[in-house]
Amino acid sequence: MSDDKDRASLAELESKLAAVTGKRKDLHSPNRATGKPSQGMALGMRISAEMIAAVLVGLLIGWALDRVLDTTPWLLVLFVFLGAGAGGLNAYRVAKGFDSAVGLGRAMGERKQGNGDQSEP
Amino acid sequence: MAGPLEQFEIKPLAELSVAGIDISFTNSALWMVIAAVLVTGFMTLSMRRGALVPGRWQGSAEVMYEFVANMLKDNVGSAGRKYFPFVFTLFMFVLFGNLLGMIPHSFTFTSHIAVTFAMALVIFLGVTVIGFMRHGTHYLRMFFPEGAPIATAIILIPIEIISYFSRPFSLAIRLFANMTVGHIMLKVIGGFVGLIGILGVLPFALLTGITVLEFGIAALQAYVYTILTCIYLHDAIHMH
Repeated sequence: MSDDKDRASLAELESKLAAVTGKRKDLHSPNRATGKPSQGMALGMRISAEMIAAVLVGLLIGWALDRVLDTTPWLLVLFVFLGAGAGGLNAYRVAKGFDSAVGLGRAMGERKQGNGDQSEP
Repeated sequence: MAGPLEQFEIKPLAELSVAGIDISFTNSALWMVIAAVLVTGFMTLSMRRGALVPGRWQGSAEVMYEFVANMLKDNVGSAGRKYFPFVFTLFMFVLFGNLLGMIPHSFTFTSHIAVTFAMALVIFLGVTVIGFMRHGTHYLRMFFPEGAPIATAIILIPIEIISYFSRPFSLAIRLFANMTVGHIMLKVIGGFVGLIGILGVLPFALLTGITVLEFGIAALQAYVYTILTCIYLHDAIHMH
């Protein structure tokens, strides 16, 4: 007798637990970090860092290539513009929630549209 | 009164040099050691009993563990499991570095780009090596978008390469800039409190709010640093 009652209350507990874990799953659903920008300031910081970094890397690559190939200052100029393009692209990715996924193909695969035209400087 | 930038000054505590290279033990190094000791102490001491029903300390240690474990699971998947020790260490180190910096008169080692960039470089190199180990030269394909017209390769490939190499820089700059800006802001507004007499209560009230905000930023930036590491790992392991 009491066994049945125990089982019933166990089943009840089970369903309650399932409801709670279900709710928690919703809360912790796999969002890709910036899928939903958590805070405006943090997102702004991220985007500005992204743009600065890309231009910096373009500058660095251009400068290094210039030194190696002895073509000062042409490659530097070219790569700064390419870096700005990459910075814009990265900022776009962060804002759209693709994150710093290198490979535009991925971003395009996720969107199934767009042709990356904003990447061209 | 001390200037707002003096708090970032690196002072050698014990002069030391090997083969002409200055490797003095500095205040920055001291606080890194403190962070490492505190993290290790916190984790080992709170897990010492390993009780089935966790107490307060064990509970907080488990929260940290599960937080990072879930982050790794959600962003990398089960393949990322074996990188958990590294990611967890990274998160705790950055988090403690940021939070220790909030103690008055302490030193915030994450406010130095040398520190954040060194860590970012390790992450970047590690992720690149993992990518090449798992995919071989196929990993290079990520630099050219699938389905794009071949004529655009000449412009897209350099952009993608720059975009890839900008990762450690953006990772390093973000953490360093957040920490530096926050601490300068605290110091400057703190300077107003004493300067303008009775009206000083206004900046003091502002300062109270900003201090709370800074604690939030300290935790948030540790989180961002770690989650980006997870995302880079995901890219290297799954590629698309």
